[in-house]
Amino acid sequence: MSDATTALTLFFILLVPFAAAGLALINCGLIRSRSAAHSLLSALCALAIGAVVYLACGFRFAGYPGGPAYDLFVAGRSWSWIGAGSLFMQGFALNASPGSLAVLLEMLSVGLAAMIALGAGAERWRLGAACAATALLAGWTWPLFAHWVWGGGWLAQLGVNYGLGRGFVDAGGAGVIQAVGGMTALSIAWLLGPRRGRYALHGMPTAIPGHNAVFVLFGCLLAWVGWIGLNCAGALLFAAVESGRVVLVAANTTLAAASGTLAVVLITRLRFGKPDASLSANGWVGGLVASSAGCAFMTPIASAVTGVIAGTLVIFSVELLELRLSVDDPAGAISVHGVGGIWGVIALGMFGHFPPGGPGDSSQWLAQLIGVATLVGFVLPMTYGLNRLLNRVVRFRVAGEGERQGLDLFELGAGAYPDFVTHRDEFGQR
Amino acid sequence: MGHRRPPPARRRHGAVLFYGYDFDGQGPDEMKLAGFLLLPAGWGIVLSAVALLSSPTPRAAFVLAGVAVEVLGLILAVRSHVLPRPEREREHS
Repeated sequence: MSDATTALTLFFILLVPFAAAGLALINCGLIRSRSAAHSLLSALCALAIGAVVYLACGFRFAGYPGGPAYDLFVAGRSWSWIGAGSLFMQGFALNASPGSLAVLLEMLSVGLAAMIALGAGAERWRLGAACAATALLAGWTWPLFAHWVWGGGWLAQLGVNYGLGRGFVDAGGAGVIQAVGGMTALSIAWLLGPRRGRYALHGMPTAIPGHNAVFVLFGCLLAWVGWIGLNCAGALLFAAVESGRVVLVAANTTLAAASGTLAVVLITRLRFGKPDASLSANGWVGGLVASSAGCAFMTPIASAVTGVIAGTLVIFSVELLELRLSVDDPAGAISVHGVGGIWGVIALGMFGHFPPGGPGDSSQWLAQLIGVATLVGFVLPMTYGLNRLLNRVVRFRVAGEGERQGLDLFELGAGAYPDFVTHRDEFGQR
Repeated sequence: MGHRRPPPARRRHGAVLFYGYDFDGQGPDEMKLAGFLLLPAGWGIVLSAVALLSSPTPRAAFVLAGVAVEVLGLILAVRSHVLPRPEREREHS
C-alpha cells in the first residue's frame, strides 16, 4: 500500500465516528424525551466498552487479513475459524501497515455494531445490562464473525477453497457490522419485550412518537458522512480495490441512501397522504446500510436499485415487526440494520460486477447466500442464547417504575431537558 | 358478548407482565426450542454442502435446502415471541 493510499485510508477511517454520531442522534430522537440522555450515554458507553473489550480480547479473535489464525482441516481444505492474535494487542505494532489500519477500523466498527442494539432496547434496557451485552458482543460474537469475513476466515476463503466467486465479500460491513448488530437487536428486543403501554389490551400497538425529529434527520446527514468513510475504508482494506475506485464507492453510497429515502417518501406519501419523517430517515439509513457490501463492485444504477429495494423493505419490515410480530423496536434497528444489511449482502450477489482478471461472478451469489445463512443460522441463535444467559445474571429490563419515570431520572438522576419538560403519561395505557 | 379475561399470569425470573401477557421472551417453549434448534441445523446443512459436495448444482441445491430449514426455524422462533391476541382473534371469528 503506497503512502498516498495509506493516508487516504486513514482519512476515511477517521470519518467513521460520524456514523456513530449519526446513529446516536437517530436513536435519541426516535424515543421519548424522558430517556434521551440515557440513550446518548448508552451510545457513548457502547463505543467505549467496544473499544476497550476489542483491545482486551476482540482483537485476538477477530484478527486482520494476513494475521495469525487457527485453522481446521475439513475434507482436505483449510478453514480459518478464529484469529490467533495476542490479548491486549501485545506485540502488535500499530503503525501505517494495512493490518494496523484494519485493526483501527475494526475497533471503531465494533462500537457501531453495539449501538445498533441500543435502538431496539431503548427506553427499557438498563445501562449496566447494555454495557454487559456490549462487552459480550465486542469480546466474542462480533470478532468471530468479523474474522470469518474481514480477517481472512472461512467465509472469505470460499472463493479460494471452493471456487465460489471471490468468497463472501462485504467491503463496508453490511453483514459484519449491520446485520450482526441487527441480529443482536432482534435478540434484545425479544428478551426485553415491548415498552409499557406499547400494546394495548387487545394486542394492538399504540403509537409512541419520538421526541425530536430534528435529531433524527440531522443524524441521517452525519451518518451519510460516516458511511462514506466506512465504505471507502472497508473497500480499500478488505476488498483490496485500487484507490481510484473510492470515487465509485462514495457515489454508490450516496445513490443508495438517496434512492432509499426517496422510495420511502413516495410510498408513505401514497399510502398515508403525507411523507413520514421517521420512516424516511429509516429509508435513508437503510439505503446506506444496503450499500455497504457491494459499494465497490456495483454500477451506480444497481446501487440506486439496491437503495430503492432497501427503503421499501424497511417500511414493510417495520410494519410487520410492530403490527404482526409484537416486536417493539423504537428506532427501527432490526429493519434498518438487520433486514437492510442482509439485503445488501444479497444485492452484491445479484448485481455485483468484479474487475476482469479475477474469479468469475457466476457463483458469487452462492457465497453471499452462505454468508446470510451464517448470520441467520449461527449468529442469531448464538447471540440470543448468550444474551438470554446474561439476562439471568444481569437483569436487562428496568423496573416498571423506571419506565414510568423515564430512564433519565431513574438511572441517571436528571433529565435531558430539565427546564421545560414535564413527564405526562400521554401515550397509551400504563 | 362478555369480556374475556386475559390468560392467567405466570411470573418467572425477570418476567414482565402486561395485561396478563408474559413478555420476557418466554413464549411457547417447545416452539421456541424447535425454532432455535432448526436455525443451526439449517446452517449445518449449508456447511456440510460446502465441505462435502464438489459439483455446483447439488451444492447449490443443498445450500438452498439449508436456508429453507433456517427460514422454517426463524418462522417458529418469531411465532414463539408473538403477543397472544385472544381478544382480536375472537372479534374476527
